[in-house]
Amino acid sequence: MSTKTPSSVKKASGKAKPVQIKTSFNNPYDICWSPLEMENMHYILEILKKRFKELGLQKKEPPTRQRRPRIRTKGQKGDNKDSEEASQDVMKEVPVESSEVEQHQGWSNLEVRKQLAIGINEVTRALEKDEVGLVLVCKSVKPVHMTNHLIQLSCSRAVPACQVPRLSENVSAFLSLKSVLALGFKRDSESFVDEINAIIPKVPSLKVPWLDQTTPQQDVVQKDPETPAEETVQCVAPDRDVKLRGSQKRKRDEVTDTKEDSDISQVTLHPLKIKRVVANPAKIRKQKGNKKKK
Amino acid sequence: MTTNVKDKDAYLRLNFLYQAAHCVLATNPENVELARFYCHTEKNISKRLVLRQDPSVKRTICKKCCSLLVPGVTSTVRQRKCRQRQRKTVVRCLSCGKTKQFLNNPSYVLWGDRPESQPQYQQSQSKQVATQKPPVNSKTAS
Repeated sequence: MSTKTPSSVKKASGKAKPVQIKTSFNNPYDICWSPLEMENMHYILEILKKRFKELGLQKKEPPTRQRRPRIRTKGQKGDNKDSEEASQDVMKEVPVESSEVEQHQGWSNLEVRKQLAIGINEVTRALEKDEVGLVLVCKSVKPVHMTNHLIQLSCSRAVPACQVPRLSENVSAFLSLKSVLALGFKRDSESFVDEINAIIPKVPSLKVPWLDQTTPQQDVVQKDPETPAEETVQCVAPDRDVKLRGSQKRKRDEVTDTKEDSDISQVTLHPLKIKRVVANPAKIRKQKGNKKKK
Repeated sequence: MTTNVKDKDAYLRLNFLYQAAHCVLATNPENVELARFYCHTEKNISKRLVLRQDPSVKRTICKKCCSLLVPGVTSTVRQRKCRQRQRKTVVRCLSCGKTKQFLNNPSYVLWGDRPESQPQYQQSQSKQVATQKPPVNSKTAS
């Protein structure tokens, strides 16, 4: 038995306070990427490597002026003048260089570049406009919420998408970029048609629980309500949706006959998930009571 | 694991409303109003009964208009820069324009996802402490 804080322990038994557990309503859906096999992963990476080597697509970035670290020594004014002069010299040099380098800057092959969507923002925009035929995402992304939105986006547009580990490491080297977390091939791309057709069958199908709710369930409403949550909900759901349709006023008995409502009545209710968490001892709390409004 | 949770029927209701909002958007992507109503009701219930919602649920509901945020349908997601080297994910609700920002810190983990937050971890810790500390009280008592 150990006595920790004497103020909190009033009883003579010397027990510490029971740990308070908080319950929170957790997300019933588990939205995650479908796992990709090792063989398929290597196959995809090899195909991409070959293609990018053939095309020789590379980006040359303009030479960035390095920021000189300001060394603060005694006699700062003298140093400042010197640094200003030096910076002016550098400024004069850079525009001369840039005009020569402009011709070699940017992407080596613009047409091919237009058929690709490189980078998370570009892939997201292309998916929203529905221009993309295949999406490849790097698996070694931290934090995960950077690319999680792509799952639901690509599922809603019915675009095959998969998470390939180490995509960034391999592809960025070929394209001479820092990192490639998402790569999208546009639908009307001519130079990547073979690759897309080769990769798509290897890509596992994405499943978002609430989007693909077309699981066929026969005789659902006719069952007796033995199991509590699912059946009762399915009775209620078509009833509610029937009300929404307004003009089609139907009673509950006729729901089983209609084919239109059969899709909605096949939707299943996912079980309730509750998360039990212990309070965080290091939580930053606002101090109340010190400042009172007069 | 005991399932004796206070207000379990309220949690069931939250569960149903959340899934119903998703189904509504799945069947009719333009009917944002109904999804918004369901999420608004869900928020009201949790507010009235002081029920905690997981961040994974709260991140998909707009704070201002309570509409369900589905990337591509009711919200846009972009990666933006802030403060030189930091990048953040910005989720923008299309109906009200309110933004949610998440800083892209690779080492940050939500408290709920950490192993220390689990009650089983705390129990194992207390057991270890109990076995490690024998004769401290005997010295202080004497």
